[in-house]
Amino acid sequence: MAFQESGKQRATRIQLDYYKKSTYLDRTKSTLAMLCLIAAVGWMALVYAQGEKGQAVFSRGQVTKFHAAWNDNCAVCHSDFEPISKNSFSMKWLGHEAGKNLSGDARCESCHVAPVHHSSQKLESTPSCGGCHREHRGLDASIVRLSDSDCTSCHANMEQHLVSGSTAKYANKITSFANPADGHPEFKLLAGKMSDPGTVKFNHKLHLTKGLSRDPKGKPWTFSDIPEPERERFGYKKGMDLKTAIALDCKACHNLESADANPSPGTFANMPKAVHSERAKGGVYQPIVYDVHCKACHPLSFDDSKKELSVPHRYQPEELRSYLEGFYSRQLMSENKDFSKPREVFPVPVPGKNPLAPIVESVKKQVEAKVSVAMNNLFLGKKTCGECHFEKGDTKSMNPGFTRIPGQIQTGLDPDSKAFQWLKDSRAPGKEIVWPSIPSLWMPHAKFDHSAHRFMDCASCHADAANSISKNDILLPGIENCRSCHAPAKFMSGVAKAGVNHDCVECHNYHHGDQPFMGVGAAAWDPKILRTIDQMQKPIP
Amino acid sequence: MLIRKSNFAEHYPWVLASIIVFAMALIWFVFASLGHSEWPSGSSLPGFTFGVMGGFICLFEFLIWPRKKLRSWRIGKVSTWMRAHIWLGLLAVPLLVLHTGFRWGGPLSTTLMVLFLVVIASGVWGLVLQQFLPDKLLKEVPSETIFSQIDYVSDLMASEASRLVKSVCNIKVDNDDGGELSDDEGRHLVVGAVRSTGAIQGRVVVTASLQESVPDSKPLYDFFNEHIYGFLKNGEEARSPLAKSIRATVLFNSLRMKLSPRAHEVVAVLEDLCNQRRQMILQSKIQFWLHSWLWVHLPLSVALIVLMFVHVFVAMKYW
Repeated sequence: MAFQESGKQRATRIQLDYYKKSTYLDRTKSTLAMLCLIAAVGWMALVYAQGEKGQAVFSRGQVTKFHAAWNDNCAVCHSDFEPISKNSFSMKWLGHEAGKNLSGDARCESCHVAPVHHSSQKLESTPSCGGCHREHRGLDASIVRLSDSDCTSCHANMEQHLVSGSTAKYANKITSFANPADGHPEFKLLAGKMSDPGTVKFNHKLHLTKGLSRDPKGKPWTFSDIPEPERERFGYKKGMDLKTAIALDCKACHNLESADANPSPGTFANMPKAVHSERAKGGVYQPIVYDVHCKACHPLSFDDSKKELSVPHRYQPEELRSYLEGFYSRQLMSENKDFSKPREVFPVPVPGKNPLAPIVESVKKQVEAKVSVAMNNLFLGKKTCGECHFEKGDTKSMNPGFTRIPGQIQTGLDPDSKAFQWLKDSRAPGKEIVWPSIPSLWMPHAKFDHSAHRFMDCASCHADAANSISKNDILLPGIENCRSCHAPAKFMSGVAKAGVNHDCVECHNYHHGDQPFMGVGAAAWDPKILRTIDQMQKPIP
Repeated sequence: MLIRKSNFAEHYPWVLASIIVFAMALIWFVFASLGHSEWPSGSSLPGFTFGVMGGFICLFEFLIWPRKKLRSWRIGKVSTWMRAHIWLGLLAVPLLVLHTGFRWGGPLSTTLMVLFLVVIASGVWGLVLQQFLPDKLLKEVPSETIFSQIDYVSDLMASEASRLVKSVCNIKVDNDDGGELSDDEGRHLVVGAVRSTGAIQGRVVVTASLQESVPDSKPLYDFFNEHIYGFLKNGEEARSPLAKSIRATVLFNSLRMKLSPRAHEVVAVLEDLCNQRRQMILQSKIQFWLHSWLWVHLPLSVALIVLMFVHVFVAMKYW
């Protein structure tokens, strides 16, 4: 009988519950899945257990090195479920009123008291601290190097962002610097054809002419004309002929720090450091100081018989007169031995009569005579006060039209001027020399770093300086001059042009307040709360 | 899942939709970055939107696991799920990269992105393998059996071959319970055999009758014990020369020359069984490559989902 396999027999070749049996592939997969689940949950549990220290795990990146102490402490800057930027779209659905000030800002302001940008800007147009200063971009990232859009969000249409009733002081629409069509205007001083507000007569052309002579055939100003200690700093080298004409350049007067002035002993070296700091950042030129830059050629000599004598600078006429009276009184006292003799002639004073009166009167007359001569020398002499300064109220002399004589060189005081008359009677009360008022910063709403441009020839930007004969000339370059470098890179005949930074923050600060140097503002330099190092590194309550 | 010209029409709507969404996302992203010195971050409106979309896609992708586990629920066709899994998963890559603003971020976000990219890469690797390994399996493993039953079937094959050889070699054959075989079960055995009809080939179950003993068949018995039994039972682990097809042919031919022609039918059955066993070895290897990418894909997906929820919470808390 032939064998016939039953269905049961065939079925047993595959186990009926085969689908319930897992393979090593399934088992490994499940085991690894469980391990990954445990690892993920365990990691987070560990982070939670670590408290503050563990929070760095959640950071989206390291904060800038200036805030690195709080890298793993979110609560120093963040408030729970509150956006760091009040302009965030999430404000509303995180339960906050759109545009309202955030508690997070107070945390920033406890250290950085930043003044408002403009009092006339709308509150909702004023971003929160974190809205512009974006953190978590790495230790070396800058949180003040903002993109143009942070500025143009308002400046592209300023009127919309001003409180009602106020008008825009500046261009209503500016969208970039590089392209003139984008609205950035010419610098205000140049666009308004303003004149130099400084009140010191200065002829750039004369001072940049070799020999400093108005007449090309005239006697040049040579090293023999200035005191020996000053010669080296004006270019004298050992062995040179003292009759060599002096040739000044820009840095003879414009120095980024005191060392640039090549000080000579006895002059600059003795200057107060507050006037000329030794370690200036170099962004802004140090002020022109008479003692450093002018005195060598313009000594304040007052006595023709003793040229080496000079009065101190920065004295007003009244003070100078007092100084000279004292000086000559002492001189007479020391020269006339009679003044120091004992009072033997009049052993018994006659009542009502001053026995010294005749002598005093004589001395007074002598002193007065000497002082008058000295004052005349100082105020009417060619190389003294009147050479550079104006009398207060002498509007004619200070009038831009006065000193600017086309085709001629500035010549000093007009004999018909009030100043000339005033000098004849310098005792009159209220007479005063006008303070120079040379601006320490020409563009108060911008920042410019001269040290970053130190490799450039001064004339490439200040081309007019060498031909300027009037104190009224503003020698700033125009905006197009800046744009020749600070614009998007372009290639012309295979040569790269421009390409230097041209974003808003390259020249502008937001929190300038009313600070002339465009810093973060005086308020930020004097915060309300002062902390110890330990307190600083803890969260702000 | 196979993606072929022949079935691309089913994928086409998903591909098109993914490309359109990606293009729109990219345009929005670029537009939002104009005038900014940096790409929009994850907390910007476009960045956040892409993050939400990517997050929901990740969740959906993960749901395919319970969908497979709970087959009986029949929530949508598995093929539809797979197409959505593939194309939405690929769409999530650009969306989540845009969400990051091309920044790795801190430890958590970096871990998330690395996990995500590895999960995607492993998924793509698995998809690539699925394009040709099933073909290879079909062509080169006609005696394919259920993967989990390979060991069981191998044991059966070894047992059946043993009974066959013992019967031919006149050695008393016991049943599995240790008792003597009954008449019916003792005279027949069931073996798998590869059969093909036209282009179709497969493994069928055939019945072989136990032969009368063949004289001088000791070489068969020795060969079986030395090479065949171990190979059938343990496969590659037996380190048998029969694991190589050419070597096996040589050995079996050599064996035939030592045996009476009456035993050649049995040798043919044994050779066929060894051939099937080699195919099972190949099947195991193919199955390994077909499924082992899931060792990376699934476990890391689990970690990704857990950490994604943490990321969402922390992002909301410290916005």
